Amino acid sequence: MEKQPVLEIQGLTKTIGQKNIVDNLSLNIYPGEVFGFLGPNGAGKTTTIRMIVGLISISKGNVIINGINLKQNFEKAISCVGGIVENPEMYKFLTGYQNLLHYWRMTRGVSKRRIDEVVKLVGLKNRIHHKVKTYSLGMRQRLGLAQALLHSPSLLILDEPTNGLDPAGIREFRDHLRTLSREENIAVLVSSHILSEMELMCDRIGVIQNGKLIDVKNVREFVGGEQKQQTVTFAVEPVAEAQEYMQQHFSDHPLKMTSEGFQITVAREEIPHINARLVETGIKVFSIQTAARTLEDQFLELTGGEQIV
Amino acid sequence: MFNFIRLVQNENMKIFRRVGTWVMIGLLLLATVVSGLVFNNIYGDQEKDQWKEDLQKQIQQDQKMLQNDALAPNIRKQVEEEIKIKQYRIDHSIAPDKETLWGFIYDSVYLSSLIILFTIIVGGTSVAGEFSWGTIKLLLIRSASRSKILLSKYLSTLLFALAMLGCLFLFSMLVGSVFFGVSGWDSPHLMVEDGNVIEKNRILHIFGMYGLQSVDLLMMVTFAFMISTVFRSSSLAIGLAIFLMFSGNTVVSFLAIQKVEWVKYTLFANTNLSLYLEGAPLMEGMTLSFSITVLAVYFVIFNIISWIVFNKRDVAA
Ligand SMILES: Nc1ncnc2c1ncn2[C@@H]1O[C@H](COP(=O)(O)OP(=O)(O)O)[C@@H](O)[C@H]1O
Ligand SMILES: [Mg+2]
Repeated sequence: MEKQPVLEIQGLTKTIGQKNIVDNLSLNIYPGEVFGFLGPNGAGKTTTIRMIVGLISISKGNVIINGINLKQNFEKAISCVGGIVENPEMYKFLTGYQNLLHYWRMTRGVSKRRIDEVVKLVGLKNRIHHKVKTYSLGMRQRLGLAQALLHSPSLLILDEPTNGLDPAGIREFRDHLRTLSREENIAVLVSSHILSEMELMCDRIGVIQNGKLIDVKNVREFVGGEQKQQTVTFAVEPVAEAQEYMQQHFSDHPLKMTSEGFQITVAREEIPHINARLVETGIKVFSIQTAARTLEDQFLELTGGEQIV
Repeated sequence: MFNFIRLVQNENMKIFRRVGTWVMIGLLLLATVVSGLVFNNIYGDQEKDQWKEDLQKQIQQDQKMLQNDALAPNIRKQVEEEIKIKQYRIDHSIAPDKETLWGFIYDSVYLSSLIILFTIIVGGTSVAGEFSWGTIKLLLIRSASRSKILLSKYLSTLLFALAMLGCLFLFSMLVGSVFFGVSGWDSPHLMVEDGNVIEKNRILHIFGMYGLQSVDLLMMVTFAFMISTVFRSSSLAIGLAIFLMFSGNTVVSFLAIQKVEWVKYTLFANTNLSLYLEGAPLMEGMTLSFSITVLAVYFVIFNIISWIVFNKRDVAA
């Protein structure tokens, strides 16, 4: 049976002036998956997210959440969405608990006990009755997550959630997301301009550039081992002799010289063959390292080498 | 409906959990105490039992004044009414207001300009604050329409004003009884109707005075609220509203003296409804119903502008 998407985006467009900041973007997100929006700064990620949560008007296209069109019934459609857009800004003069109470009052049919539940979930129990102005960025981020989860949404939207977090904070955040999507079957849409993060966090990644969605792939496909061509680094001795040999016999493959040997991109089956040939020629092979193609390589390939970050 | 009340609760929480709000309440109390000290200095050392003789003397002076034929008709009417009230006091042994705490409570009504100022600050921050704090992004992605959120903000601002008026009344009562004692607390308010002196309920009279002040309050706050919604800047809203509050009346009365016709359609020419009760409209041809109509038009325009802008606005940045 085909799974019903939580979020359907159809031909979403935002025009400001003459320019399409978001251009005809379509995509579905399903329950239990973490979908990553990846793109350089200014690509249009925040703008897309703002349209999905109704902060800005939609120039063209539709946003459908659990089958309800956002334009036609905002209050109903948005009731199953939780989110943080850019930084999680809270009322600093209130305590963490009062902030949550504030958002709880805007929900319908949610028990007040749920506040304590989410506080525990994000691990803020000890400090929840302190004023938010005394919180660290990481704690605010957690409070932000708590308010987003308060009404048990089926779609969680997080815009650059790891901005400003330290590595430990990022790791913790990632674990939270994983747990949420796995255990509560929430669909998560998360945006970032940092590739390595997305690699670890997401099930599927959509690459967005200049307002256009240029590719959507499973993370495994993206980084995957099943690709034919691999880049391998050989450490050999004597170096000069080996390099000369390679240039003569394998110059039809992308070849790069390194201080300890060379790097070559070849089909997987070729690797033992190259090794055998080198050994035959009397060259000592100390190590052969295969570098998995990173998301970054993929990304650069997709965007035609455009700089990220 | 249930949902909406909770929105107002939220706004109230945001107002009363801010230190600034309590500073305002403190300042209001301080101002009442200071004004109590000042009035006590002026009236306090008069002989308490002498007032009947004082009134007798005043009546003679007033009567002398009436012999002047050049006296303006509305002033003549006022003086005549005052004589009647003074005589009534002597006959019924009702001490003048200024000898009692009531006089102080009446005089404290002028402190409501301070409340206008404070409410402008609260109303001007209500919408603009959410933008400058960045919290607007979390506020608007909930299952509550923008109209409801705006209305809850507007209502909570008015509730704040009401609470402040309540505080002022309590403070002035408290300070009044400390400085002037509670003797005469059950005396009636005296006024002249159809040539006869009548006794009226004090509390009702005070409500009336507060009510008249509230016209100004309502208009200025609605104005500040609109500016804050349109420009998303609380300082602009507060600054502009306070500037207009202080300069508006002066400019309008200046133009009225110059008999500039269009002045009567401006906001400030119409906010002081007590002029009609005193029988001295700002300009000839202006009536109470005219002013109420003009005020209603401004009120509706301010609110519609706030509503349209808040509903249509793209929340970016
Ligand atoms: N209100 C606006 N007016 C004009 N241009 C805008 C506005 N908002 C965003 N942009 C432009 O749209 C592009 C996308 O911005 P944004 O969605 O914030 O990108 P991202 O979140 O991917 O970094 C940027 O080039 C930005 O300059
Ligand atoms: Mg962004």
